[in-house]
Amino acid sequence: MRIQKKQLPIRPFDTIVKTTCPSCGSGCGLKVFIKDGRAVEIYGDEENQLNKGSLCPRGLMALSHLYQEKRLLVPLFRERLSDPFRETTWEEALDHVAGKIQRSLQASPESLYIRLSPHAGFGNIALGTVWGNHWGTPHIDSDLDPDSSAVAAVMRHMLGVEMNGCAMSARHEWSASQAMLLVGVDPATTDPVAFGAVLDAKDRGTRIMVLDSRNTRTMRKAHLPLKCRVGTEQAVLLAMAHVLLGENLGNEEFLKQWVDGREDFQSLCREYSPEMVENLSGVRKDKIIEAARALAKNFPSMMIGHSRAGSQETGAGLIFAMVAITAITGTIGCPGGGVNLLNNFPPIEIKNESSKEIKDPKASLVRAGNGTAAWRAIAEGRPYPIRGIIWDTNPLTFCPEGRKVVDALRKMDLIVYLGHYPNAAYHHAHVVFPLTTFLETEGLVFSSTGRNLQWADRTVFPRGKTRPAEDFWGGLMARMNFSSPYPFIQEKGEVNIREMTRYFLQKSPLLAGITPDLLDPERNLPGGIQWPASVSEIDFPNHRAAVRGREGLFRPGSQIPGTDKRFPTPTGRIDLSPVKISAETGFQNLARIPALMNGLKTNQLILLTGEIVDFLPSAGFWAIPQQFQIPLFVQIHPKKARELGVQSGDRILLENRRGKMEAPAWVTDQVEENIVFCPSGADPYDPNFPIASPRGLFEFVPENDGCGRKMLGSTIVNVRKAS
Amino acid sequence: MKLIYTGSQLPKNAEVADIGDEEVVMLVDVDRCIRCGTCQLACAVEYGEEGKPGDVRNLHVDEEGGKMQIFNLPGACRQCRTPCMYYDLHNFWIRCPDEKVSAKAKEPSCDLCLKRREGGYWPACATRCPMKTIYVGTMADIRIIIRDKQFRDYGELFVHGPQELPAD
Repeated sequence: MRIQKKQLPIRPFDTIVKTTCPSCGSGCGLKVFIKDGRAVEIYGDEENQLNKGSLCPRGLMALSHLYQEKRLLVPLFRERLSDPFRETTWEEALDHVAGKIQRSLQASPESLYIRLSPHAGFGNIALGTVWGNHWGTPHIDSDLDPDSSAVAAVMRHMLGVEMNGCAMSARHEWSASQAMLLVGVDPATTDPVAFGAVLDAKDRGTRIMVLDSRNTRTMRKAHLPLKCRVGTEQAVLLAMAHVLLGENLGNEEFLKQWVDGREDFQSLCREYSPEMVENLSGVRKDKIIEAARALAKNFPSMMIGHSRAGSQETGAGLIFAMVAITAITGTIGCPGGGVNLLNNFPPIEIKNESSKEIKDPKASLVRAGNGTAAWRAIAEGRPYPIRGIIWDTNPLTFCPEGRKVVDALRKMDLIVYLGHYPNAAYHHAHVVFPLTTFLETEGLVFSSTGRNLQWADRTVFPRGKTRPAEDFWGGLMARMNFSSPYPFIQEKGEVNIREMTRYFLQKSPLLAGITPDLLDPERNLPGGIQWPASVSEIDFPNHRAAVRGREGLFRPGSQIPGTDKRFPTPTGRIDLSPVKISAETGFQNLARIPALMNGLKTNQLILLTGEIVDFLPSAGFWAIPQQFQIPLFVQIHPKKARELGVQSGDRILLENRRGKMEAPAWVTDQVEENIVFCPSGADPYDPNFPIASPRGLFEFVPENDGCGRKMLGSTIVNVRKAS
Repeated sequence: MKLIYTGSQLPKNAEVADIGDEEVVMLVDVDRCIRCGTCQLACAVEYGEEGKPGDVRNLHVDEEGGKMQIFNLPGACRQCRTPCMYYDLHNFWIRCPDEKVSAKAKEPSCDLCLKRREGGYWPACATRCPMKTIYVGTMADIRIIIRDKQFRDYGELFVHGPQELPAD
């Protein structure tokens, strides 16, 4: 009998509910199979054009998270951190939080810090921001705040559009690209399904080049791997620009018509000759020249980066160099061209309906484009103390200076944790609200690698007393009488999530034509809608791909909706001048790591951290059997491992003056000889995979270094075999 | 059941011509594998309880000397618990030594998801692979895919239309 590839189970089921996985930027469509009200299987949705049935381990394990025994199912409460938790109800816990905030923090509303992650849903960010604005604190740390990222500031300055996903090609257009340069990203590990589009392009003949400081899984798939020293990615890019401008390989027509500041940029590149950069970065100069020529001679060529700039320090500077190269090759606005940032966010403006004066908004810690500033305020009380925190998922695993911060947390008046699992953030909280997973609630999903908005439907009823994060914020707003301008908040604080999403989408000119019903994969075509989509523009321009929405911004002859320009900067042209951008966004041209490397002593290595696929901020490591748990953790080069007498699986000790960390070693050539790498999300309280976190080894990153919201940078550690 | 690896880095070896057209084989395209481990999880989910993964039949675990090593390459034939020696040789066509059941084998070995195949579907690991790395079918079908994969590297063959695989 002929057998077929069908995303269907052989287990019995009653119904199929279609939804969307919000775990990463790939935005995969899901089919959840229900039997007697219980989800029994989960498969990718072949009809969704973004994943075409593919699903990575994160999506596959969603059921495991849903029915995990250790999940938080009831609200918990305690007066002091030393007391045990007692069970309570949502209403009682909300009354307590509202009362406590009003009693303790009324005099200084700015001493409340709110950390909002997209892993608790769009509504969490939107309503958290709105509530924070009404309350009067400027310290609202969220991904949707364009000012919180220096990368977005660079894009805004150069291209004139808010948010960093604007210069992207949609994912179905990636195959139109003739050459791709992936800079400092490892989508094979972090966004596997999106990386499928890269491999599809490779099979069609696209030249794949990867520039990274680690020998990643992505790099192993490249035609031209450019392995550089840590932190020198930007220098390599500038050397490529040097070659492009020196050999006159640029798109002269585009440069003449659309680009300003070419001379300034050229004088910056002049310092970065391929010979000089070969010495600095370790990438051979003929490889740099080959890559530059490949970018210019194959049209269109595209760049793939990360909005939080993956594993290096030069976030904003790197994005600047990437946009500059695409401007020189003239591929911005071409299908299969442009700068494609994984994990970007759509231009949703969360407007403030309150007229409340926020005290001294310039003193905001978060808006400096530096995620560590707020943590410094928590730990050191500078520039003024933080006394209350509302956080979700697990921000604590990413904060530097672990010991100092934890000491400070013990003295807080109030810490509220919204989440799924008892992790580090839970153990430092006074009040705990159990949240639904994305299978138990509905909400907007940002499929950022495809520039799509999608909708996640509710597939099963929530377990225990879990509720969506929207209900927490709605409850607070109702109790504090902030809810009157918002029709979607009912009397007792319940939130109509569809109405809320429609309300916020309509406020953004680029998204006004999108409604939840149009996105809903149960009612409409799966795959969502590509933004920009103002009212009249929702159509099917690409029938073959069946992707709804306009094809992209910056197309030749088109204008950005709401303006009359192709590039809505003040001059209407792309500005490459590094001086102005540097002054405006505060990025440095080169990271400090190359300098660090020269001063290393024996047994000293540089510790870097990054994201891995086996981990989700909202849920920790996969709730999977012992045999799958990663037995190996800290990547170390074989040569260094031999010197230390370490084999894969042996425990090694990393320490510096701030702290130490012991973890199993993973001997691999993915890292250089003087580098050790470990995943950043480790948490000693993680219910599934408790392991020491590297955060205690890091110090606060200097302010205004343009790193955006990346918090753990790089640090020097002593490495030895644990006894 | 036979397991075939293909990839542009693997040397050519046309042993595959010996396999009969009706035989069910599994093809793994090493060029597309990113070692994400979905194939292993798929196996665990398929043979576990609902929402609770069970044991894996296609996981390569070698506990030599008390140290655990995981090989993340997808593979269906796990007749024995030791990783296949054919792995390291990197021959172009690798034939699994089928019918060789190790005495050490303690777990049920892979039957290429017989139940799923009876239902008309591919095995779990091949169905779930997000990178379209694994193909399962009769050798007659798989030959077509192999030819396709070869055009990936020898584009000019495509112009002249499908051709028989070279004998060597």
